[in-house]
Amino acid sequence: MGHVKVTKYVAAHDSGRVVNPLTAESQVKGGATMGIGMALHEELLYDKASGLALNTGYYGARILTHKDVPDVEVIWVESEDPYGPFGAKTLGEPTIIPSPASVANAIYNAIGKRVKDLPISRDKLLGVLA
Amino acid sequence: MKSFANVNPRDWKDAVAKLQQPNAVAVGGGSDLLGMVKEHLVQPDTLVHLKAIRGQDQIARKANALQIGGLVTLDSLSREPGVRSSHTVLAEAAESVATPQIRNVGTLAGNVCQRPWCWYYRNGFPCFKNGGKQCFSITGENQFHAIFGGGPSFIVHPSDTAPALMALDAAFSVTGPKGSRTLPAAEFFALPRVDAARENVLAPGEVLVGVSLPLPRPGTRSTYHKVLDREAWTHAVVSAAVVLEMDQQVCKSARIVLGGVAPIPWRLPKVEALLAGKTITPELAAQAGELAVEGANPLAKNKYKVPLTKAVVRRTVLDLATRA
Repeated sequence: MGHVKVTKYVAAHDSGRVVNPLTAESQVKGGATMGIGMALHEELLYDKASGLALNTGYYGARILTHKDVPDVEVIWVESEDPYGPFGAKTLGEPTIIPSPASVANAIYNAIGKRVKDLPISRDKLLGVLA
Repeated sequence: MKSFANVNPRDWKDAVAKLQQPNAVAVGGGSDLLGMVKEHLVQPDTLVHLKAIRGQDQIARKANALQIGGLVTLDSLSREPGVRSSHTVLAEAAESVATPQIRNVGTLAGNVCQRPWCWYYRNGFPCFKNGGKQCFSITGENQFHAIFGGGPSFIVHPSDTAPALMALDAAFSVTGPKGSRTLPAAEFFALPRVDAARENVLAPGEVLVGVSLPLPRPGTRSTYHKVLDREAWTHAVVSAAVVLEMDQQVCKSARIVLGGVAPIPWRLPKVEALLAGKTITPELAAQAGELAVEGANPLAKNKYKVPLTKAVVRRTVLDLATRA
């Protein structure tokens, strides 16, 4: 109840000419993993009086585990960028830009209700569904 | 990290004697304790390592009971075919704990006696659990805290196996400087209003040696349902250990104990009484869910646990009763 599982993630990127497809694909999968975690779980909580962080460490950070990461399909929209080296464009950071929004849209598509602040945690989902 | 001595007693008498040294603590798997030493939450001078005691990692089936040594690892407990068939809820609970690496070293007694995972406690705030006089969660970040039995501390009991053991009517064997004693699971755990600094009644120097489970009556089936915030490796947001004694479609008796909602495993005697002697229908299961949250007293950020608990009780009871 209120549980979200991302079952499939498709990422299409215009990265100019893809110089090294293997590492580029890994970059996209890493970005998707971080983005889904950002959409669903990750949030740094503080004690308001002392300013100390509460959910610290590897366990507290609530990043995705292996079991949470969906199948990520990568599609290259290749083009020739005349200003980039060998026709390449940037790839690293853009991979995370659309992922929280796409997870949020998928949730809206599934339940017809919007949660507008991240992470879209169980308490917020049960709140909009109540 | 403060340095400490490690000792490996060979029997319980020796272990109890060593535990009476100043600032000594008992270690089973050590998966949690070593982290707490590193974080300065406990600063022992001596670790009394219990794994060298012979025969304490055994599961033995006696004429009328299943005896489980406290040093049985969570992994072997979850894989033991006999436990899985006769005491399913315990095998499933053990299997749901943490990660494979932790289950390989973590022990049953260690899981039952595990300290809370409240982030104020684990970050060294001067709360009741750290020897202070307040609970920071009341006005703070309390999304994972107690909705039942809270006050003055609002931690939730972190163990998955503890609700299963209570649902199975386990007897806990304890030994210490004043000798050995056996007490029912229900008397082992203590609410914060009894002692806000601790979660059970173990006296200083006492350790949990093992548990004894009565063999199930014919027609008994059981299951553990755990709600996590991701697919693996979190403590229970809400969990339910359910044991039903069935006669065809009729539930002769039920035991239901919740995890993740209270400072101790939270038994639901009124729900058990509601189900006894009745055929479990979707309507009755829904009534059980409603009754389960009677008296719930959520904090500002954990109100969602109330509908979640309702759903977990309703679904788990119905699923178990109607399972082929």
